[in-house]
Amino acid sequence: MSSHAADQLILRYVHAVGRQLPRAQRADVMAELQSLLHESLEARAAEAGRPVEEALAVDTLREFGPPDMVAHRYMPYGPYLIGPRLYPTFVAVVKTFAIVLGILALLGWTLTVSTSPASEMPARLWASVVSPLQWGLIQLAIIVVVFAIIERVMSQRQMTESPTAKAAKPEWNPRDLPVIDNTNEADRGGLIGSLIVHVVLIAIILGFPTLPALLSPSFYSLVPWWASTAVLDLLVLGVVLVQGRWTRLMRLAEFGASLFGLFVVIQTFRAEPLLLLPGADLGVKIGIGIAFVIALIETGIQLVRLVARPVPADVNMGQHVRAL
Amino acid sequence: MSTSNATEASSALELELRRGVLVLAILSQLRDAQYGYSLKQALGERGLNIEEGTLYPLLRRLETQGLLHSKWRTDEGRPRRYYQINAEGEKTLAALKTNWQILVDAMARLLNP
Repeated sequence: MSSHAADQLILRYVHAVGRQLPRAQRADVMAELQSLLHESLEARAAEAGRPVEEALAVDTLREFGPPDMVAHRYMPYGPYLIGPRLYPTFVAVVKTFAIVLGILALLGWTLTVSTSPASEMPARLWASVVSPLQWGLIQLAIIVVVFAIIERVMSQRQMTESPTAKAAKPEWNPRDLPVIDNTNEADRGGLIGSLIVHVVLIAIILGFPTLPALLSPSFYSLVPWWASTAVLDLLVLGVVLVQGRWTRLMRLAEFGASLFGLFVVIQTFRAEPLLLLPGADLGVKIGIGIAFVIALIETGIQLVRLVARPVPADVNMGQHVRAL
Repeated sequence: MSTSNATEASSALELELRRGVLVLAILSQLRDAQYGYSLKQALGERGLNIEEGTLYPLLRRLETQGLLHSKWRTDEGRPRRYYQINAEGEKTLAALKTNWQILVDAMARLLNP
């Protein structure tokens, strides 16, 4: 039996260690660590004649060691190009760089789609994707070299560090462990609401009456594109609802669907007037422009979330446990 | 050197000495399958206390090196990963035991001239 606070602290510790481990061994090590820590905590409580509580969990974890030190021990023997101490910082820097590059690339791609004549679109689209990638790879190599140099300097310093200096470092506090990010849990209510809205939208798009006096041929040529955007979004939302959580693949699919949606919005903006009413085109363009800005911001947020995603809170540790 | 510095240095060196025998100690106790915590208890009862933060990663490493095999089991409603020495581990254990005896004999001659 254990207290909720103690359980949560152990879970935060296990995630703090797991975040630094290679993906292949992460879930298995986390599952084992969690089991062992609970066992250790209960034994400590029994020995002390106290119930399992957060204070005992703090003592257990403190004795176990700081998460980065424990993660370091799970890694294969060095030498490292970038070791476990620096690796989280390296990942954070790479992610920040990837987000900035991604946003700039997204803006460039949007500009390309908005301004390119149809005949040059494929070549320019290809260039707008490949150029940022090439530049990004060069910058990534520079980041790796810089961190490798820092790792080497830090390792040499640590080898010569005296036991006194090591002992003088302040003791780590398990209560300072980061909380677990639960944003990958699916908000069922929100998802169902979005699904209903999308179904209604698709019904409206596909069931729109033919009004040749009001709506231009350009309007009807865009209907399949609008419907496709809504169907793609619907599919993504449906899969997430069934799975109960956002996975990396579904975040990628969401981003892909948003990119497609952006493309459709831009094509809608560039199309011939949709309404045959005199003077209505300006209002329509303004509306589409607003929709474009909202879609662009949403796509940017999805990109940031995709790149900055930490280890999901729902790492499926249980799948590695097989009953006799 | 002050007394506290000397004590800290001594503790650090003692830790290094203990770490040198950990693999031999662990392999010797894994003829029967054990999980991390039970192994820690078994070693502690025989006079070798190991930090859990050192023992559990070491078990994984020994498995990665092909000296142990492991299996998840559910005991008393709790999932546990049990480790046991395999054929390769037995060969390594035999070699380490021989080397250990050579070291013990050499140290006895050095410390008791």
